[in-house]
Amino acid sequence: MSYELDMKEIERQVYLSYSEDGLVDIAIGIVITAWGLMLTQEPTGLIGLIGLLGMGIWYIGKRTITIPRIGMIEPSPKMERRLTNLAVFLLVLGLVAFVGILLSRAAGNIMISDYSLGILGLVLAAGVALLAYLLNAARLYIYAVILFVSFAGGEILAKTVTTFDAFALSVIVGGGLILLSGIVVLVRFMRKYPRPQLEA
Amino acid sequence: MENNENQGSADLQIDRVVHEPARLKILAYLSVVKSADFVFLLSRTGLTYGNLSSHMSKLEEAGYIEVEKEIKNKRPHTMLALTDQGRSAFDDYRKNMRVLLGEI
Repeated sequence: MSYELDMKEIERQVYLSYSEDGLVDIAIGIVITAWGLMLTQEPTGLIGLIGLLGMGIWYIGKRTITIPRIGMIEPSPKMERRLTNLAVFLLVLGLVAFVGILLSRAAGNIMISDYSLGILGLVLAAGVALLAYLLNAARLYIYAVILFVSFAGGEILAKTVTTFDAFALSVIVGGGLILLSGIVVLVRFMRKYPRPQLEA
Repeated sequence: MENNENQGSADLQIDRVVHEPARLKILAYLSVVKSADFVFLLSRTGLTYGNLSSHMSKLEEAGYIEVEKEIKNKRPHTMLALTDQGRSAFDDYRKNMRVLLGEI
């Protein structure tokens, strides 16, 4: 007979509850879908604002939906380090991919240059997969696959289909699926955690 | 630790402040974060407002948690954190229970 509080499971449950709200899913879905839509329009310079939109929605959602329902924590130093390391890793990954694509174009490397959007999809997928690992949210692994397939698949499709912007459509569909899933997760979260009735 | 295991269960002291199931839950959740607010503990422990308040007071009296109250957006907001004493008491409790139940 043994007695052991499963502290790893308790920690997992604590941090998992903050990704149960689906807001990360919605933010990713909106950013990807909006980017796909913008590819069909001009000016594409507004792409930078889309990222802010996604972050804004995530932040407002946390403040108005999540925190009033499940409260708020200050993460442990260990978790803060993991979050910082993730942010740094994603930044480095993004920079490496960006510089790599630029250099390959300059060097005339057709392989990388022609499939640069597929590579971008891979980088995004890697970032989302890392987020899945950090947040212990298995559904984010599926989003990583969706992102890679829509970017890489869309790029390949675009080389054969010329009647419409196949890449943009592929991205919109991928982003839309993630967004829809996020909304379902959010609704389930709001039902599971109603606002507590706090006595005065 | 080694001494505790060799001494046997007769010498073990089970801290009754920690041993109470509701307080044990509170301490367990606080041990994996830097701090947490009242609503978080309410949602995690499943206790009623009154119950949680009562256990919170006992833990604070024992010096195991520190409680910080403030007004945020015109509403009271309470943050709780384990003290070093509380962390030590929680860790000791877990060790002692392992020894005690390991002997059965």
